[in-house]
Amino acid sequence: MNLNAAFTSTAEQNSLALWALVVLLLPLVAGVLLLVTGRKLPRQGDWLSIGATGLSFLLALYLFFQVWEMPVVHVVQNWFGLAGAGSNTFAFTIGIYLDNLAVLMLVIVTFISLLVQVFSVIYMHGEWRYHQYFGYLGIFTFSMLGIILADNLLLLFVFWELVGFSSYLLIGFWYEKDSAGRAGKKAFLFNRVGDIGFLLGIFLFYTYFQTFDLVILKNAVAGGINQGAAFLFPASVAGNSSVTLSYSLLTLAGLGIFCGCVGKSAQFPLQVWLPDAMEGPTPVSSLIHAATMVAAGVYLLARCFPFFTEDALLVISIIGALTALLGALAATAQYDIKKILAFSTISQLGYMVMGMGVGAHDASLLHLVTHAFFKASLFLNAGIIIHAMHHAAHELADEHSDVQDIRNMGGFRKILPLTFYAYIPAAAALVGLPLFSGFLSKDAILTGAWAWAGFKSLNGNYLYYLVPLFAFGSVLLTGFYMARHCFYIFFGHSKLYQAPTLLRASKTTETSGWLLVPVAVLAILSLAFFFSFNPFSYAGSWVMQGLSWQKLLFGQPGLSADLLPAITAYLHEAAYISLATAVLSVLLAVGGLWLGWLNYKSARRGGILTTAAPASSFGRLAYHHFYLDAFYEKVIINPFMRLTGRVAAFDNYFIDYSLNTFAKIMVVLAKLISWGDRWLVDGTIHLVVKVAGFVGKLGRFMQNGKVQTYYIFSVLGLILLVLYILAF
Amino acid sequence: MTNIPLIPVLLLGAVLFCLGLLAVITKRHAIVVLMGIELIFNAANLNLVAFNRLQPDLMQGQIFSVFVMVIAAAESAVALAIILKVYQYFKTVNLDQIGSGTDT
Repeated sequence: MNLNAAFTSTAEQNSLALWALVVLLLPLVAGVLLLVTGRKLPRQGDWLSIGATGLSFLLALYLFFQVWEMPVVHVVQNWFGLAGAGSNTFAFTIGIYLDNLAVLMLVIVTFISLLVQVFSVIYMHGEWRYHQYFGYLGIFTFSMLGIILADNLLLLFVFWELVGFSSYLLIGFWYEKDSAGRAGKKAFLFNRVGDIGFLLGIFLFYTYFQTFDLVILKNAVAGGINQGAAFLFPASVAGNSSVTLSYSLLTLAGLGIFCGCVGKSAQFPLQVWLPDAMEGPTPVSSLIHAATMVAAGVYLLARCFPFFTEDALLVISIIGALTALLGALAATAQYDIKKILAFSTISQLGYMVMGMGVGAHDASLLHLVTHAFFKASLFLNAGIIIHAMHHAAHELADEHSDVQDIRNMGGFRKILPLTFYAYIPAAAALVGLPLFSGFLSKDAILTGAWAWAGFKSLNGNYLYYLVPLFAFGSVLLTGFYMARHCFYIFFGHSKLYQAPTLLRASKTTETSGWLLVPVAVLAILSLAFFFSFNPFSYAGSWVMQGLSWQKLLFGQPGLSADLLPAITAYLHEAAYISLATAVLSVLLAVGGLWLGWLNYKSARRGGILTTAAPASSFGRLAYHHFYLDAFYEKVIINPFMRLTGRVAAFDNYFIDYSLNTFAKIMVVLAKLISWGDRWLVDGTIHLVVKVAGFVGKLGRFMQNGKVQTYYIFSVLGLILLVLYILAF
Repeated sequence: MTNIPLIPVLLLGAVLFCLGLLAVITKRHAIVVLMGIELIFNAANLNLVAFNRLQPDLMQGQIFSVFVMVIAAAESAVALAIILKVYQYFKTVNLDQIGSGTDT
């Protein structure tokens, strides 16, 4: 069965889909093999995992060149059917959908997964569950590719959960550490909260359109006729009969799907799991909690973009802007090298989600792509530094110092120069300096947000400008926290480990090439040239053009039909916004860097801080991530625990008590019955037995084989006979 | 021939019978038991002879007692032969030890 036969020949589509299937299954096969037999393979089988992912990457590249800017490949098979009322069955399909976005994501996921696995060879060396680690990574890669390739919401949800599960496995990889185990559980549970909304959203769409297939749903939604407070979907697009859905119901359904994104992409208010997820191995943080999995939420938004009404998009943009600001604020007060990056990831994800909300669909996806490279690079960089710190701590037998605390670092610019040079482009991209990839994507999002606010506030309500305001504020904060990150680590001198030999692999080599090459490759990919031929303007970016909503959605923005063209028109009119955004964002970023430098200088003058938490009230607030964890603890967890306590007490005292009483009554009854059994039933039987035995004994006594006894009895018999005769 | 009253003779017969019976029941030695049986025979014979007085002409009692003696002699011969065989088999003639063998 083929729905898009008009686009490409069926045979060609099938062969491409087959290759996509191979890309999908290779990491799974490698992962499962490693989990089952890994310990017995040479080198615990890391080559198998890396080889499979490498092959997967090459195939993904092949698919990329076959599909990019080419007709969409969509192959559908029947999956299963469920009998419904009467004779109609509900058929469920399974399929592969390859468009520009999917192939680009395929390449990115397999590429970063490959680099991270290469990095892990040294980083995880000597780990006693080394093969399991690679096995889990394989399963994660498989699940992530599944999300990308899925053509319907049901299948997507299945892989969505698999991704959450493998994330759980990898966060809790060092489960011997209590905090790692708890972080894994926390991430899993917070994702579950979002997934409930996601599932409800899917159900709502299925209820009214009887399909999970994204293409059919998109067509159905695009065919909706806006009637003000409701949408009318004629029978031609909604299946059997025409459907009228109220605007608020559609908004709710869209927000339900957005809930899945809130959980997975760590948006406010569910973002608290991501900082804790840093308990996992650093390469895992790089792959899953920076580059790929957390971006799945944004990918979902892009796939489901037509299902969002204008109000749903408004909520999405507000949540995104808030998340961007909160994440950036929290990042300014952290001292853990990975936590700063984690909060930065939350902030950048906020940008992407906000970009989706303000209709900057392509800008948001461009940011997803660029962020994947530079953030993966930064995390792997942090991995090298942590590796070096561990090395030094191990040499000095120092077990007390926190090797991830940036206050314990310093001067690495001289000790690890190559690492520093690889760090600079990635950090610059994150801050959004021109010539680096982050500048393009961030600029595009900011422009989109400004244009959106300008268009929305045409009715006189200037509150919409809060969203771009938050976003621009976050640019300043990004500069600030990255300057802090950079100066604390690479400048000055380390108070703990000053001898360079402690931190370097040897006098001549700074660190293993296995660690350095992936970081360097990702750092180079943080340059703007790779994403746009003109590194100062996103407008000519080939990625962005390939990912525009006109191409991905076939020019059908769906429920928010009028918004996107209107914003484009508004931006066309107010062309100053593009230039102003570029200048303003660079100024803010540089200003942030300068403030960060001032902060670092003052911190050094006062001696590097040694207290665990900042002293100022705002610093404390940001350091503790606005006490969101404590808030959830107080408002949700504690009442819930109290409720469970009550339920447990009810269980103990009421249900158990009645059960015990019942059991006791049963025991007494049983005792009575057993008494009756023993004395009445058994007694009767025993009596019969005794009588029979007595008779038997009597008989035996009379026949004891002694002649004289027989004689006595004969004489007695004779006497009885005589007496009888005498008597009668 | 003085007339001997009947009752004392019958009493003597009864006593003889009881002694014989006692011997048969209580003695362990097989030959002594055989002797008890002889006593019982003789008690019977005494009764036969005593009751002959009621019809002295026919001499029935005397003749029967002669028959009894002959049978007793034959019986003794058979019994002694059995006892001999028993002795050869069990190496004892103690009646308590030659029972069925299960109850000893």
